Amino acid sequence: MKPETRNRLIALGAILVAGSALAWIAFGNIGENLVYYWKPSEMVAQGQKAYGATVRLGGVVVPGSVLFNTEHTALTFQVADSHKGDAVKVTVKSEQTPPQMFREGIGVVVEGAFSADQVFRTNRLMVNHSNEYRAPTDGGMPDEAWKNSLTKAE
Amino acid sequence: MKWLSLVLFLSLPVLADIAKPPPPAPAAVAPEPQHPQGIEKVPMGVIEGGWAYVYAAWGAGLLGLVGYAVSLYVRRSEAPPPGAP
Amino acid sequence: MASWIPLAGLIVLVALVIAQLAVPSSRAWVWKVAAGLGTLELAALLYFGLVWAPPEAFMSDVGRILYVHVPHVWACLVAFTINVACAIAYLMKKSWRTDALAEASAEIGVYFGAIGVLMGSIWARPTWGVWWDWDPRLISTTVMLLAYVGYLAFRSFTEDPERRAAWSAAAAILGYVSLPIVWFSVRWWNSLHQVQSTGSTVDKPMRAVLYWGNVTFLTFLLAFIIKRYELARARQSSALELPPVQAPKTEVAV
Repeated sequence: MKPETRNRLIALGAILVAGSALAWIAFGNIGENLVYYWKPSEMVAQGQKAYGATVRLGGVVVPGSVLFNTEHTALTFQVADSHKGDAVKVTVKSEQTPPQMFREGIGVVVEGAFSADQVFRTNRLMVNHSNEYRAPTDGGMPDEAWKNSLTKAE
Repeated sequence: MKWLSLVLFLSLPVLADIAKPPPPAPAAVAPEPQHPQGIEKVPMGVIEGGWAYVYAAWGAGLLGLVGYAVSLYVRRSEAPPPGAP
Repeated sequence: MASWIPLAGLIVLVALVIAQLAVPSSRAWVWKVAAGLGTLELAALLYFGLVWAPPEAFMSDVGRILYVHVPHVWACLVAFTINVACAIAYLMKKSWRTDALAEASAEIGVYFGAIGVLMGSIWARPTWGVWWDWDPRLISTTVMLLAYVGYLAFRSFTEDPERRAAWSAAAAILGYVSLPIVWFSVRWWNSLHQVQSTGSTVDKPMRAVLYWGNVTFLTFLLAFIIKRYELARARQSSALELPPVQAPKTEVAV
């Protein structure tokens, strides 16, 4: 075989392998096996199987649900699938001082364990910033800006 | 920064207005028995300060540019000039 | 910064690339112009990014890391795209030039990618609250960078230039699969990293500075690639012309 032909065959083979690998990842069901976090509804749907295992739970902080005791850094809040009123919610307890960006309505990912008392205890609280970058407005944070700052989740 | 804090401070009444629903009374949400007092709403979630992180990240970029340029300069001598025996 | 200024910078950059590729007589000075221009653009970026641009509403000044983190990763992705284009071109029509350019772009892509990830980690600490977490974006980016480190290692350990060029080109095509995975990882899977910003999710002044940052580091990308390419060419010619054990099998394509 001439080297040119061989090289072109190598190219064809590599492109075929690369393309099918990509298609497999993009359109296969690998996504179901690669779970970074569960949403509250997905975790609750697991029932008892979810208890005890160290997992990540992700969602949005329910407005009005945040209780924080600065003295004992005891933080309690609810995480919901979305901002819809009927979204599934899970109560989260943390003994960690949250990142400064932590606020009502923002997206969070917490690592810890869910237990039978329906409380998710975490010692690793991460804040999930949205892809929006806004200059502060003169009025501080008007109603609209506050609403827009809520993490968009379906 | 001072200006921003002032604006944020002055806007607290506005925020109190839009914060929905008002924080439930501690008793209503079954407070932790060991610390029933001192429960308060978490502040607004704006980072204060943090310039050290900015300088670290930008500094990494500048050092990287200089470092890579130096590495190219140093390696230049590795390769014999074209046409050398 | 007016929003047309980054566009003007991009046009100048494209003109330099065209000059380098199409006008042989310009090759002596294009890299110098790119390096000088990049330095000036960087000085402007320091001012516009750290002083002129407003702080972000929630991230405050920490949001200024945007202007260097995103451009570094962009430069990385552009470099790897050049790399795969050269790999395919080499296999279709053998040329030591495309082989050298593939080597140069891979190394510079790894450099920009590594610095970009480092910046991202520094940014994550104050915003996410952690330096690192194995979310799909961070996993896929790590795998991508390791794949290209492996590619460079393969190149440096393989003596025979023909074998090195052909098989590293095949590896480059396979390695490039990681790039769309990195890009779409934030959309395909739940992740801690946010999805890509678009024009409408970034306020105007910040957008202009972000684009300026992109132009700045792409200009450095050009200067670096030219110099690294010349290094690769010099090594090639010494490897192909010096007769060690075996005579060169092929002539240097000119």
